[in-house]
Amino acid sequence: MRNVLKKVACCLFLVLLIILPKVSSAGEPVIGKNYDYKNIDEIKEWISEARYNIIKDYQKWGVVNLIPQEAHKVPHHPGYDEATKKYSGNVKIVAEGGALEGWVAGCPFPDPLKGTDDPWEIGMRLLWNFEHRDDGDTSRQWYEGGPCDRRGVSGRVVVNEYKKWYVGRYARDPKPAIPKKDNPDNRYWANAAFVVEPFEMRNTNMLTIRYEDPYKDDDMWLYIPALRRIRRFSSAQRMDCGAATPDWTWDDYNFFQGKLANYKAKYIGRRWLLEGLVQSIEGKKPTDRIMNRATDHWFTDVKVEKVHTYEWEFYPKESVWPKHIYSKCVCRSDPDHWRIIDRDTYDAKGRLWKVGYYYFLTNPEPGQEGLLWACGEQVDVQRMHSSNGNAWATYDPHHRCRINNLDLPLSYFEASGLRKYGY
Amino acid sequence: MKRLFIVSSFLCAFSLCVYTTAFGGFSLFDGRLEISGWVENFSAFRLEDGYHSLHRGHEEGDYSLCRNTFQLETQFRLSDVVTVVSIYRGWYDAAYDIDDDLRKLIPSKERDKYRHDSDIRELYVDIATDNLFLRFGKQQIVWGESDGFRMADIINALDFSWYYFFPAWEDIRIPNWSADIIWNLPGEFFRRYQSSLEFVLIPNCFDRGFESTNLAPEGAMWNPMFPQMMLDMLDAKRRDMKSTQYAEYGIRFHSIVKGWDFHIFDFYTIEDNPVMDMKRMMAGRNPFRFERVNKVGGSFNRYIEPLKGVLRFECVGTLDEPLNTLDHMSIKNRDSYAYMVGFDRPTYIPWLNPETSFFISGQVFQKYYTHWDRDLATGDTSSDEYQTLITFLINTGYRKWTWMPQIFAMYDFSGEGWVNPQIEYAHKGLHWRVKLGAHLMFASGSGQSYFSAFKDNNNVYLSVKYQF
Repeated sequence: MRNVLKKVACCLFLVLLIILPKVSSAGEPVIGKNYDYKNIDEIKEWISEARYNIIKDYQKWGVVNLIPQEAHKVPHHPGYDEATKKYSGNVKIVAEGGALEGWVAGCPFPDPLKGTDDPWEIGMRLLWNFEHRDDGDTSRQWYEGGPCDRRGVSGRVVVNEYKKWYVGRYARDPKPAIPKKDNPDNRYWANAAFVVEPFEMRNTNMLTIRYEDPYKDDDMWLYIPALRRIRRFSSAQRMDCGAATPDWTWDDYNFFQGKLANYKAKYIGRRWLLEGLVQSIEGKKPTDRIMNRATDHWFTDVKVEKVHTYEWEFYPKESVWPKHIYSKCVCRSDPDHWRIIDRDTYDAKGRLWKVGYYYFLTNPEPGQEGLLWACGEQVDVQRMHSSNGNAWATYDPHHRCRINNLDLPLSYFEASGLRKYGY
Repeated sequence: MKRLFIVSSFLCAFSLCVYTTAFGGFSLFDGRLEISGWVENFSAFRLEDGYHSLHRGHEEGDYSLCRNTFQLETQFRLSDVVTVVSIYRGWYDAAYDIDDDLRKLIPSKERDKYRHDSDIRELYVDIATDNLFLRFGKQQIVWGESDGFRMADIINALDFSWYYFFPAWEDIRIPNWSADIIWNLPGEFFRRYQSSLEFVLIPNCFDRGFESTNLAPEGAMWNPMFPQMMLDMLDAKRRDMKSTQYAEYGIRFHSIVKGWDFHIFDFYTIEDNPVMDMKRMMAGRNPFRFERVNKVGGSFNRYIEPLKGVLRFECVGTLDEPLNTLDHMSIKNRDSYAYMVGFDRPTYIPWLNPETSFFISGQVFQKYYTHWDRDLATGDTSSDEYQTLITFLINTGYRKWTWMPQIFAMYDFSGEGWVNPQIEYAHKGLHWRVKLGAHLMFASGSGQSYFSAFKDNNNVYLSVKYQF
């Protein structure tokens, strides 16, 4: 009898061993399970409040779902890690204005919490880490997307975009900066965006130049084929939206492309969240959309993974923007690549206005390891309007642009090149 | 046959609209051939009766025009270096068929020319190498910095015949068979300042002769008080100028130095507007003369950081510009100097538009003639040695750039002006566009250069355009 009791106790113990972890992990996301409005409460604490409300309100937004997957560990470009190791020790934030001092290349603050508990200092460090993320030295983006209103997708935008960094280089020679003789006006980066669609802006080529001086405004030239003329534009109103992507302001591109000296940031804390960091490209052709859009405004079947995010918020400085359209933006960034992957934007009256997510692919090219931007969605939750897009970052599926490699000549990023390399 | 072709063009255009389910044109041959275009109905209506002698018969509420246009643009990228571009335009102005009175006002031999047309408007080849950009063919070449009025934009003449200078310049410039070559200057010094040299050649030796300003026929709404007989003589003169001796040459240097983006140019050209010598007419000869002149000038733009705007400037000096005397019995040559200063500033006015800034632009134009005589007449300065003109533009976008109001206004200190309020609606991803606006002109007398002849032509317009 005693033996029988012992055996039963052992069995019970074994059963408990198997069951207990399941019980203790109640509320843990289950890999491969489909979560939508019916069962999203099971993982409520793993997603942001805004995302929860959107999934829950399926009558307004359609059925939006998340599918947890194993977390990815995506390596940096080796040069980025090397530069971080070499240069990050000397970097500091200038108290007045929040500019960066001593940065050469790589991540400026690999441990943003080190040596301070000032949330404003940490916030700026996270913002600078995002600014100097692992994006390569020359990037290319073939963006396809379009605005969507209450009646559905209302247009299409296709932009072929190149960006070249003049300083902070770690992947291609010359490193860490293009020599002064080839960069006499002290550029930080230059971005040439060639519009393929919509028709109204077709073949327009826009050149934006950002300078090393964080207080100096950008320069902007536009070649407008209909006018047959290159026009200079003021880049001062960074909070304006383009007609083709009316939910993204100039400073919203890439989830934040503002001049850091115009903003201040505050650290909130670390938070485990399910974020759609890495998406799958398997079984897709270059011309396919990377992610599904069963609903009009939101991507569906989003593969999410546990990310120990940094949660922080940034604000437009009142001294620069006495009346900005945003009061604050709450961001969650991933701790390895410092990318903003989840952002809630509040209007001037402090009401939630736009909710956005960014998704990535792993770069398959040897020696070019890293994350490639794959898709982004930014939805105006007040007016039910969105501007979402897919991007194929590695190559141009239609060969529409005249330059098809990443070794772009510097002349591509000159005002006179706008006409030459456009149409 | 021509009418059949135009009707076929419109049928094709509407078929394209129906079948373009995907947004934005077509591409073939792996994207190397791209086809896009637009179809538009542009209707304008008069707001008052015409009271000038040559505008009598035009009545309030009449169509000013009812122009249906189909434009097809193709670009074929033969290689990474060579691209061929063509722009076809076919149009039919239904106003002449809708309004019998309008038909009767224009001489019959001119009527068809202003009723429909079908034309390869531009056709050129681009060759882009590392340091050279060459464009050969029928094309528009644009210089200068100004908007709304032209100063350094002197390469192509304009077609004022169908809606004066109200349409966008690119729609009324008369493309020339010409060559445009841009050479990025070699050497470290020039590379540093992004310097280039541009050469322009217009041979003027082809069938159409010299392309001068095109004016509306007698009886048409935009006829500048020219009887048809004079217009015919002018056209004959222009067509006679079909030789390389009438070639025009231009050179322009470009550079960007410390944020100053500037051009210096010289254009050895023939005036687009003729002078008239009545003595020649009395001798039985064509009284019009298109005189050769040399135009020298420059332009720059600069982003002014403290003001958060772009400063634009251009100037042109014309040596020995030919001018008529008021009695048209003789021609005198005077030097003229003109400049424009403009400023663009996007400005956020939250109580008027909480989401998008207003684009505000202002320009001042001034022109001055040396050694002025009171008996001189000019085409553009109200017969005065000075001309001062200001323009103002403001526009913005509401509801995610669905509604776009705009006001453009101009005032010439000689006592004339023009106001163009407009609202534009963009539907379905910018493919459908509807514009509603008005052109309101005033002139205090009969001597003003731009609107004294047209001040009774105030009109409202509605444009419906589909772009693919």
